[in-house]
Amino acid sequence: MQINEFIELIEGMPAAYIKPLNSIIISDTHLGYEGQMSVSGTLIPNRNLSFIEDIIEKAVIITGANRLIITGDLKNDFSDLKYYERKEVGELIEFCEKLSIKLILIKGNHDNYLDRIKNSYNVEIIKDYLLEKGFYITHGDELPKCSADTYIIGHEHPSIVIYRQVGNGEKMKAFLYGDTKDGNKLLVLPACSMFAPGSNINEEGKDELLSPFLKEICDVDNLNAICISENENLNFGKIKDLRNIIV
Amino acid sequence: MIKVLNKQYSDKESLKTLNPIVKNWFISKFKELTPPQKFSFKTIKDKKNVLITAPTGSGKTLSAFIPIINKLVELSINDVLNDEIKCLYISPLRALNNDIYKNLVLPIEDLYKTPELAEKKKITIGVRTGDTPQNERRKQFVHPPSIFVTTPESLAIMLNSPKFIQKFVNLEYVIVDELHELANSKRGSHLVVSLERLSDSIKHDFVRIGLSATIYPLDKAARFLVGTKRSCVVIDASWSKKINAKVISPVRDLIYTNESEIDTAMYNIIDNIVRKKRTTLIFTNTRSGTERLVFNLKKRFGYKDEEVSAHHGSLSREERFSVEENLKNGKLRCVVSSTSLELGIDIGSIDNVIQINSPKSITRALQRIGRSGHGFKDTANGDLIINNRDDLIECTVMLYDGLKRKLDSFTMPENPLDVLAQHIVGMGLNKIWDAKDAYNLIKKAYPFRNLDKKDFLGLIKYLAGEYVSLRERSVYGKIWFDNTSNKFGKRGRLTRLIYYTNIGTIPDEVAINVYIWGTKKKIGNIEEEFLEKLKKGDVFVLGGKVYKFQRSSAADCFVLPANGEKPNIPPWFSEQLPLSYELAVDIGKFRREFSSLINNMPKEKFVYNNQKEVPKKVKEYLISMPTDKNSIASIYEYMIEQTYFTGKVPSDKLILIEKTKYNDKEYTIFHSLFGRRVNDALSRVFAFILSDKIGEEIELVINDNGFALISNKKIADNTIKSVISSACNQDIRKIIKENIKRTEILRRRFRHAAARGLMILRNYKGHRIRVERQQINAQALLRIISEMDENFPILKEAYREIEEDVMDIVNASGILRGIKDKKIKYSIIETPIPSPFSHNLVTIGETDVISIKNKKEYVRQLHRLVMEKISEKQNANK
Repeated sequence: MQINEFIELIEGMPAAYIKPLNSIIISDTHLGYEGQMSVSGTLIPNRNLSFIEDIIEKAVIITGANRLIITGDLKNDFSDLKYYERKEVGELIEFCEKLSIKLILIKGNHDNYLDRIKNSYNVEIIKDYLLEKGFYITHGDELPKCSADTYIIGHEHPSIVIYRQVGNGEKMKAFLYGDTKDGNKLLVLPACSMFAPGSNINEEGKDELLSPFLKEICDVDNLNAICISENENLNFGKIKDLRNIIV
Repeated sequence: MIKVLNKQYSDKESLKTLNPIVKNWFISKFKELTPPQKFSFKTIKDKKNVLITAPTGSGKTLSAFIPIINKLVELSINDVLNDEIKCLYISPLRALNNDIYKNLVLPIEDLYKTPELAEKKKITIGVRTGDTPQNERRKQFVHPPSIFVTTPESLAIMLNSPKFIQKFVNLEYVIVDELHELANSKRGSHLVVSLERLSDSIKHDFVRIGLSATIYPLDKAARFLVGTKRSCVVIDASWSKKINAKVISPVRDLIYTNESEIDTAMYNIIDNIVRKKRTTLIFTNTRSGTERLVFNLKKRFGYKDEEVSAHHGSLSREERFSVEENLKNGKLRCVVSSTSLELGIDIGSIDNVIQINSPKSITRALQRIGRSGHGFKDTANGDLIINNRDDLIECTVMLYDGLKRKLDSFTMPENPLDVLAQHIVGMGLNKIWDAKDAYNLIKKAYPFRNLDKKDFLGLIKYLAGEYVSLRERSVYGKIWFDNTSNKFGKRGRLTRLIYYTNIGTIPDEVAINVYIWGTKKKIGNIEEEFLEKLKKGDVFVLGGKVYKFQRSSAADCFVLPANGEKPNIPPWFSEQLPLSYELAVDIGKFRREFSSLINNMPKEKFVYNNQKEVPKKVKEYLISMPTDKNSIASIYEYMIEQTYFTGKVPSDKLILIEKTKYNDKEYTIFHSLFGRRVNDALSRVFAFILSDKIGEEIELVINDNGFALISNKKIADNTIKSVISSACNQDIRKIIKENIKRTEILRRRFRHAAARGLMILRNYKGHRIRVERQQINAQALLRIISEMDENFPILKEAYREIEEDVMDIVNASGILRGIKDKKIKYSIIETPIPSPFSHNLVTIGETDVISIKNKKEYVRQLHRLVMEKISEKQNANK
């Protein structure tokens, strides 16, 4: 789905393509989740990495991008770079090399100790944000350090839920897109990890939101929710219209 | 191999089996033998496996223990009674272990007062449960007791203690008490495999004695006890006590009498019975019902605290003990219970049992009524008080069947793979196994007699970690498995600890926190199972206040106060018991016979009239039924209303399909009286096929007497017919599987199965893992496993549990076969408003939704609806 002349939300995937940068952006992959679970006694087979690799590969084929930007929370553990994280991050880097796309990692709040990976791999890790051709790309846990035409963030794991008269609800991962208070654009990416179904933005109070981007520089109610379905994205309209809705 | 013992032995013959010392003591103590004892003494003396079923107060426990004590006394006389376990007694209840301890220790002490025994080594008794302190365990290890009392879970742990197993080498008897309780559940499946492992470990067999209250079928229960390879004698003394029972309708007209009048009439009847009798035991189906009843009896009739008490699982141990003590010493006039007093605790002298509302199964009704009558020569008295017409017919047929000794059968989980996973790990810890030997051993246990080799190997492979990559196997694997030698054994340092700390089959339930929406104010807890049933807007009572349900997350539920609104979810909703299949079919048969009686009578002009005389023929038919006068009139009216309204009465041979309108929706009501478990399966199959055919979402309502498919468009007769014929020609297991894939119940059952199957640990390295954490892990796991392999053993077990234990897919398939073979007919009618038989269904049935199969289509439909709704709102604002 083309949301403006520069940005395409790739159908059925939590990934955006930025034409002027010829880049795909994904966010919140949380690699190493399964490993962390196994340490606490739950035997979850590794699936997340191959799920994400699938998305990347398809997105590259569809768009012909030559860069992949992961905008934060590449890995899951705050306090360390665990061996299973190192292993999966390494595999992902090698995977991108094989696809001949340049990988740029922007650090998120889970990405402490990520720099250690530089000992083994030649990869670009950006601490705060990437600013290119008017696009300010960052994780989203801190306010922007300068003004830009379009902000692109992750961090929030947005999804929406629609309740039915008959009682059940359908939860869908969603992109959030709209204007900031200053008239710039904001795009929030849903989490790419298969283990993060997301938090329901249309049910959450504004003070419950995580990102200061959503709390301070825009009114979340005026953002559009673009939901990911099977092989397509559907714009469900503004958050304010999706609050307390039962269909 | 299973033989029912029909003839009891004479007292002389029975007593002859006892040593003179024991014999004299027994005669001086008990005067005569009770019915089960007349069968059991000789049978156990002859070292035969035996299943004894007998009512409460019939000396059942001693019927098993006297022959064993006799044997031990003989050893004692000959000075060969050693410190070793000769008899293992297993009971599902911890509290019961304490009880039996008292009831065993005292008689034995008494017996050893006999001068001939005074100098001899005494029979010792030890109790081991999860609560037994370490020093006591140590003592049991150094000086093993002659009779060892324990629970299935503690036994499973002992099985994996190589040193302790040595204490069992001369074991001769195993008693399994409350067999009816175990046979129904995974605890039982777990236990019978433990017994096979025990006899394998000590390299010889032992005499198995099963004690049970009313259970049916007996031969299946006996096989459950002894497994597939052994023989067993069945002693059926369950009819030795006379039963006197009837159904009471508190008022003459159950429809137009308002609720408070019915309540008042009911309490008056109860008060009347309680005052007339010495001690009355009242059963309600729920805990909240128990509380309500106690409260009302005290308030309305001024009973004092020490005269009327509640007894249920959420009371503290001390409170329960004090109630039980007061019962035994006769201080209490009346005790009210949900299920806790259904089982074996010796509760002294109860004159009369009252059951409020239908107990839903013949066996349960008899078990409860059978709690009255002190000795084996007394009569058990029971009154079933009902408050609606479906319950009325249900209870009438129930008692009619029960008094004729026709019972409903128990349902035993077949091949529960999660339970098996625990045992395979346990077996691996003990030694290196040839997979084939292990398979053959497990198959000896009755629940696993049909265990598929593929499933067994699937489990072995899962436990050996073969579903993860080689490198991670050391972390995940609990056993190693070598494909070429076909052997397996333990793996990993932590496995033994994991086994000890995670064993058992009772899942951790999540207590859901209830908050006022938009605040952090917590107002209480509800059960997870209750939450599952709630949908947005439902009104329910919590802690005496009324709330409206808004939404829920993993472990939280958000509500808004709804003062003054009428609750639409009764508090007992989640606890309601399903009607047994056999009883349901018999009620159908009753309806059929009754309606043919009415149809053969001249048709009268119908006026709803309380004073209408019940025709003589009807009276004659009903007089043999265990009901009162009010009930006869109510049954007649209910049946005649339905007959006149629809022309046809649904029965065991006829499914009436009624198309009608209710609350602006189209209802297609299937009057299929086969019990909720069968209807749950049938309705999902029909709804699934229908939804696919008409491309619309279908809402479901289900209860014991039928189900309704609810849609926006009216369903054409031809569509209904083609749905039914399509259901008759498909693998319904597949449809149901597809159907429950994305449901909350699968998520929950999977979590339980994964915890039992040691996939999600409840305790890791000595730390308890919070249930909420388990739940989040289970969700992630479920997503991956179902994508990976639909036949993954633990996932398969979660599906099986829903299909066979929650629903009844076996009998549902039987019904469809019946329709196909034209043994069960169906007939479609249209009514302007719901017919009398459907009233309870449309108002308080359980609801669910069958979504459109294609996810993409579904999301598009959702999108369209949302857009419509938004423009609707915007137009309204303009």
